[in-house]
Parts: sequence; C-alpha cells; structure tokens
Amino acid sequence: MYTIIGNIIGKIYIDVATFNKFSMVNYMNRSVVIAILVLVAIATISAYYILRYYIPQAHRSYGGSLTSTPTTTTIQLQDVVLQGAGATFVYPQIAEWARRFQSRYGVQIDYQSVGSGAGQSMFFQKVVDFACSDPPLSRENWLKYNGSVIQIPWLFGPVVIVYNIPELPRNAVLKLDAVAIARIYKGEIVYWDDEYIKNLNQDIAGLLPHREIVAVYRSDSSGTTELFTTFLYKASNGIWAKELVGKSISWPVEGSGRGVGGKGNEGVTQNVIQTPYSIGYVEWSYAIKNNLSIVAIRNAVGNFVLPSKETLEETLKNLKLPSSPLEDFSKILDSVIYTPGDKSYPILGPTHIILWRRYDDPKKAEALKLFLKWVVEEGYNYIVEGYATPPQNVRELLIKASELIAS
Amino acid sequence: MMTRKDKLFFISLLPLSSSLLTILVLSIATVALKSLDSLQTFGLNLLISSTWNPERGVYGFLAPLIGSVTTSILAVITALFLSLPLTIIIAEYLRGIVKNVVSSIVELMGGMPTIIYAVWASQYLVPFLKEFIMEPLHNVFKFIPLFSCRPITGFSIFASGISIGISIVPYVTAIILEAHQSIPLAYREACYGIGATRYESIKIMLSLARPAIVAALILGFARSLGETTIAAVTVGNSMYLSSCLFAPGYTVSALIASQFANAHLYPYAESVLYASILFVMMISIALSFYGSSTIIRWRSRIVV
Amino acid sequence: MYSWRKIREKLFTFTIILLSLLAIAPIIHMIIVVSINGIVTFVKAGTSFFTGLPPTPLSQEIGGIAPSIIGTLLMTAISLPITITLAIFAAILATEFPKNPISVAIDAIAKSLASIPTIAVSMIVYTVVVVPMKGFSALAGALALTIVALPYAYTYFSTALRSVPAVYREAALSVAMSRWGTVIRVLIPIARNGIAIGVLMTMARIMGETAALLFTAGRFRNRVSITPSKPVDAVPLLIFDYILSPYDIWHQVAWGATAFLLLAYIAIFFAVKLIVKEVKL
Repeated sequence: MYTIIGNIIGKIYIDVATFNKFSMVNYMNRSVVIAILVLVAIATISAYYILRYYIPQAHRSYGGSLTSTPTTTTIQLQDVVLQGAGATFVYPQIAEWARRFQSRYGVQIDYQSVGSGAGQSMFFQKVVDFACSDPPLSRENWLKYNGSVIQIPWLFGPVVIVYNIPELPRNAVLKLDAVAIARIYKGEIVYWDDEYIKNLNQDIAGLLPHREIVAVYRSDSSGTTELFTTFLYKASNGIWAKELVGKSISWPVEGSGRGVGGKGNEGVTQNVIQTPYSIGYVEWSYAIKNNLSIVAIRNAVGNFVLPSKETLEETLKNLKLPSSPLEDFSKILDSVIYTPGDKSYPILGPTHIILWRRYDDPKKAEALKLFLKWVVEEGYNYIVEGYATPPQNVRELLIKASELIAS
Repeated sequence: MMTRKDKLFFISLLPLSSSLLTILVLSIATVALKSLDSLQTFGLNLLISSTWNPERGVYGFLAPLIGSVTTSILAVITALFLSLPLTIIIAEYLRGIVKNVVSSIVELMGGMPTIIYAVWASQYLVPFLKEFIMEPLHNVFKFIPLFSCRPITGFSIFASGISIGISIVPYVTAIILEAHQSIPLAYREACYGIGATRYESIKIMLSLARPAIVAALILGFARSLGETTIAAVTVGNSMYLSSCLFAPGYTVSALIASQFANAHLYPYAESVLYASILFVMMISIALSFYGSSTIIRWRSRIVV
Repeated sequence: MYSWRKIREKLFTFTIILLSLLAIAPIIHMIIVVSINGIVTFVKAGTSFFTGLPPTPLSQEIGGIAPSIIGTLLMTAISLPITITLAIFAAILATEFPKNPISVAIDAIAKSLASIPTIAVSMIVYTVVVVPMKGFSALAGALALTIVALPYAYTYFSTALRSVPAVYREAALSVAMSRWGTVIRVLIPIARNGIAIGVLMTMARIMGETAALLFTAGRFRNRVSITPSKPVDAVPLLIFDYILSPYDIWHQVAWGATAFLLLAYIAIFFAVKLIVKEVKL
C-alpha cells in the first residue's frame, strides 16, 4: 500500500521536476486509485454505522424532546399517514404542528403547498385527505357537496403594507389610509411627498422625498391579493372599484410604468428591498423576517394601527361565524376585513381546512378527529410568527368538526 | 431495400424507440382533452388578446406566447455566444488537468437544480444586468424601439432570456464538445499541413461539426421554451405586450407557474392554461420537425 | 511584418478567451455562492445533515435532509435505467437508419418533448398516473423525470454514436458481423466516453429537476420512505419549498441541500470519468 502511494508521489515529483505534462490517470494508476476510493468509501460508511450504533443520537430531536407514554389509541394509529394539500400560507404552521403531533401520537401528516385551487381540486379527486384553502368553498361548490364536507377557518393571518423609503429613520411610522393606498395603486398619487400623504403624516411630512412611488403587486394568483383588494374596495369610499377585487387582477398602475409585479410573497419582498421608494403588500411573516418597515393603516374607527398580537386578537374578538362546520362560509371575508373595534387591524384573512364528513378508512377518520382536538388543546399554544391566535368560536367549531367526522 | 437481417434489426429496435412516440402522443392527448373546454368557449380569441382576468372570465395569452418565443431566441443567442468559445477553448487551447477540471465544472453545472439558477439570477444577475447593460443601452439607444423603456427593476424579457441562456450553456457545450472531439485526426492534420492558422483550422473543423451545433441549439431552444422556474422568477410576470426588451413580460411556463395554483377555483382558467401549453407544443413540434429534417439532409452530405 | 491573417488570428484568440471567461464567470460565481452558503450549514449541522429530518420553522437546530436524499436516490434509481434504455435504443435506430422517416420523426419528437414546460409534464403525469392511483408516489415522480430527461439522453447518445466514423462500421460489416454485433461490439465501445458523459448529464438532470415533481412526488418529509407507490420527497423540491419561505433556518437548510447536490455530482462525475477511458481516433 505504502509503496504504491510512494510510487504515485514519486511520479508526481519527478514529472513536476522535469516539467513533463502528464496525465495523472494513466492505466496503471487508475485501478489503484479506484481501489483506494472504494476502500475509503467502505471505511467511512462502516465507521459511521459503528459510531451510530454505539453513540445513540436523537435524530428526531428539534429543540426540546416531547416524549410521551403511548396510550392505546396511539399504538393503533402509529402508522397512519394523513395527506393534505393547499395554500402556501399555512405550510410553516402545519410543518410545526405536524412534527409535534407526530412525536405525541405517531401519526404523520404530509402537506404540499400547491396552492388553494390545486389543493381543493386534489381534495375533491380524493387524492388527498384534507385541503387547506385560503378562500372557503364557493357557494356553488358548497351547494354541490352540502352535508358531506366540513370546513373551518382555523388560522388567520394579516396582510401588511411595507415600504422602502431610505430617507425615513427606522423608528418613524408611516401612516396611510385606504384612500391613499387605492390612489397609489391606481397611479393617481405619483410622488411620496403628495399633499394627501403629507396630511396623514404631519410629524414626518418634511422628510418625505419628492420621488416617484413604485407600486409592487403580486403577479401570480393569490389570496393575499384578494384580501388586499377587498380591503381597498370596502374602505376607500368607491375609489377602488368592485371590478378590481380578486386574486389576480389587472393593476391600473401597471400601464404607467411605475408598477412592478413580483412572484409570490418572496418576489414582492425582494422587489421592495431592492427598489428604493417602493411600496408593496405581503404576508406578515415575510415583513417580520426580512425586517421591512410596515405601514400603520387607518381602521374603520379612524385609528392608525400596526399589526401585533394585541391588535389581531382584538380584531378577531368580534368575528361572526356560522355556528356549524357544515354551513356555508363563502361570505366570511366580509366579516373579517375592515372590522369595527378600536384597535382592530383592517386587513386580516382566514385560511380554511376542508375535510370530508365520512372517510372509508376508520383509522384515518380517527387520526383526523384526534388532530383537530389536539390543535385546540395544544396546537394553538405553538403559533408560528406571522399568524394570529383564533378566538373561542373557532375552537368550538373545531371541536364540533371533530365530533362530526365518522367512518 | 433492406435484407431480411436488416429488417429484423429494424423491427427489434422499433418497440422501445416508439415509446417516445407514445409518450408524446399521450401528452398531446391529455393536454388537448383538457383544453377542449376553453377552446370551444373562447375559440381563437385566446390568441388575439393578452389579458388575464379570471374573475370576469376574460382570457388571452398572446403576450405569454410571444414572450416564450422571444426569451427562447434570446437564450439561444446567448448560449451560442457563450458556449462556442468555451468549447473551442476547452478543445483547442487547454491541456491536461486544467482541461479536465474546466470541462468537468461545465458539465457539473448542467445538474444544478434550476431553482438555484433562478435564485442566483434574481439576486445577483438581474441587478448586475440592470446596472451595467440595460441602463447604459437605454440611455444611449433610446430611439431603437427594442431599448426604449426604462428598466425599473431589471426583471424583463431580456433578463429572462440571458438567465435561461446561461442555464443551457452546459448542455450545448457538452454536445458540441463531443462532436468536436470525434472529428478524425485526418482533418486536423490536413488543416495544419497546408499551413492554416489556428483560427482558420478551427473554422474548418467547426463546419464539420455544424450538424451537431444546430442540433444542440434546437435542443436549447426547446428547453428554453419549457424552462419554468427561471422564467417565472426573472421575467417580470406582466401581461404587457410591447416591442421593448427591457419591459417585464410573460412566458407560457411562467404563466402556468403563477396561475395554476388557484386556477381550479375559476370555471375556465385551468382549461385555458392547458390550451396555452397546446399552442407552445405545436410551435415547437413544427420547429423540431423542420430542424430535424434539415439536419438529416445536411448530414448525408458530409462524408466522414 | 504583420499580415492580415496574423492579426485576425490574434484577434480571434483574444475574443475567444474573453467570451469564454464571460461564460465561465457566472458558473464560478454560482459555485462560490452555493459553497459559502452551504458550508455554513454543514458546519452547523454536522453529519446529522444526512440522517436527520428537516426542521420546523420554530426550531433552532438545522436537522437534516435524509428523506429527501433517499427520495431522490429512489426516483433516480427507477428513472435512470428506463431513460437510458429508451434513449439508447432510439439513438441506435437513428444512427443505423438515418434516412428513414421514422428516425427523422423520432429525432423531432425528442426535441418536442424537451419543449413541454416541465410544470406541464407534472400536470400531465398527475392526470394520467396520480389521480387513478389516488395518491402521489415515487413512481409518478420517476415517470415525470423520465419524460423530462429523455430528450437530453437521446441527443447525447445520438451525437456520441454518430461521431463514430463510418470506417469502423464498414470494417465490422465487411467481416460479416451481424448488425447487432456491430452496434454492441464496435459502435458502443468506441463511443463509450460520449455515452458515459451522456449518462452522467442525464443523471445530473434527473437529480436536479424541480418543476416536474411538483404535482407528482408528494413532498413527504416526515419519514424516510422507500416504497415506490407511496409519496416521497426530493432534494430539489425541498430547496424549492424552503428557499421561497421567509424563515431563515429553512434558507440555511436549502443552501446546505444545494451544496450537498453539488458535492454529490463532483464525487460521481470524477468516479465515472476515472473509470471510462477516452478513445482517440
């Protein structure tokens, strides 16, 4: 072994010394090199397995062990896998919940963020067991499946307006109302130091620069756009027309050359970060994680509010929901956006979980019932940043749904 | 007229090769079936306008179709300019370990997941292009309609074409390199034997490899038509149809990537998306058939 | 005395070097970016990166990407043999019978398959395989990958086979070797370097493909699974999901996964290149 290595090293030395161009891989050395590589690979793999055997490692740890003594239910449900698909919005929260639920009960939850529409489509084709969709089932769909589907708005998340004005200091708070935002996105307000904006922000009016506003919007179809445009329609006194509400619209500001479309929340975030004097709307978690400056928006009462745990809880306190998960939720957006309340934040949106009432597989039905109950009892204690804790009537809906599911 | 043995050989090869045909027919059938709905309802209106308004039920994908073709043309030009010199350098000028390392690096990049190209392009390439290429071109050549709009963020058909072009360089290089390395020594010796300079002999040898170059470029064009993640992130995603390269635009694959997620919620949206795929496929099938028959005729004229 | 030819020669060399530097610069830059971001993750996570499960947004540890690695390996193991077999048969057909309309058709079909948007491939496989099977699976993912990779495999193999000079074929046929014999004993061994490169590039493409798996593979990240008929995850899918999220720990995992892919390619490439000899004509 050593002589061979010595040979190789000697060859290198001699050839370098005599300035010979040589190919390291001539026939004689090649099989040797291969043999060495194979031996090294075998050695590493066996060393690894030996170490793993003798030194126990917690592979599934993730910052705190949650071992529990299995009860009879958990032994039965040990290998059940629940498939879900739907909106990207819920994915981080479900990832967190799935891990905790799995270490508690052994049931695995697999979720794919393919979009609300694709999720609903997969659910109705029975490719997945449950769907998570930002918009609830439309009235036509609900009528079609009346009595056999359950939906609950189990999570809420705010949409925030972010901006990038280099001249403003970090602790300044830009205040805007729906009229201003609507006019910006229609192209009517062109500069940051427009009179209307200055009137809303008396304290920093002097700092606002005379620069064109670049309005960033979502280029892809998104529930975030729907929430944003519904808010503008409800709160701007007619400036933002009903035709401009939806998941994917043609933005008036696009034609003026000052509009930019970003793909996904991350696209809008990146555009706002990279383009000075821009304004955009994103989900709260993206604004937090990327340290973006958030606009304080005027709510129905007249106060300028920033999104925070308190303001969101206050908004949800007055939520009117149907009393049973079997009912039609298609009008929910109306009751959750631009709500009355001193401290309520005006742009808040629900995301729903959609399930069948009957499942062929009794184990899956069991697992789903357990999951819904667990979310109410423990899941809501582990809310990821960017989501708001739902109020009491949502928890009741979840418990009711859990009782409705049968096999 | 093939002998019996030849015929047997041919027939033995046929089943597995025609699997390609089956796959294509199956794909076209699925796509056509799913797009029947929207074609019946909207007809050729889809090809004339460019709007995307699912709430009102108005669709038109002229802008994405043109955008797809434009970005692919740009990508092929970029790939041509970048991979031909790369191939020549690797094949003619480099030796030994450096040659191995460089060609391995190029081949390695062929396997990079396209999402990484997309992230890298959107964070590094597009700002670079905007600062050093798009804005100077816009300032100097404003009168040419191709450069007449101001790039705000840099995401545009131009940026997308260049990014996709960079991502197909490894494939094109590998194919041309392969073809070049199998030109028999006789030609090389003949060239240098009559005293040609390096440039002239490279020209001659490249002309021998021309069928492979064209094949590689057609493959690159097809790939750029189908490139999804890079296009979705760099093209700007706007239905705005203009002759300016620096304006944001759309490609068919970016349209699908952006709109498919929620398309099921609207009655015809999914079907319209399938219809746009159908049109792109028809364009590329026509192009591929034309290109392939040209190459075959070419090849038969070059005797090696 | 400078003649026009000499100047042209120098100009040519200069342009070529400039353009190739321009071509290599993005590649080098990308490798640097990936390595820097990935090394940070590797150092933090250690070897459990290859054996652990992905982290949740609230957790502090990096965890690992074991389910994705196994998923990618599984789907590559299913898809690569199928792709290579189909492609090589088609390439042999196209080389042996170049004027036949069927081979022209196959050539064109291969290029057309490449132009289907990869996300459309996953939509098609979803409709044809996933819905009837009522679930996602590694098989569906492997099928989508095969469809995507076929055109490239075919082009590489046919270029490699075509570059074998006709002299060798004629020599083999003149000693009364059967047609299959010429292919197996003469053509393929001479073209073996090209074929090996073709296999490598196809494998790299299969391992790195993202959009074709979006609606087919299932993104099952909670457990390592090797059943082909059940959902499975893949490394590019993991990168796709995590890098587009706002959570920093997921970004780190995504970069680590990319660096892992790069290292895997390097290892496999060098291994194969060492073994396959180049044939000088």
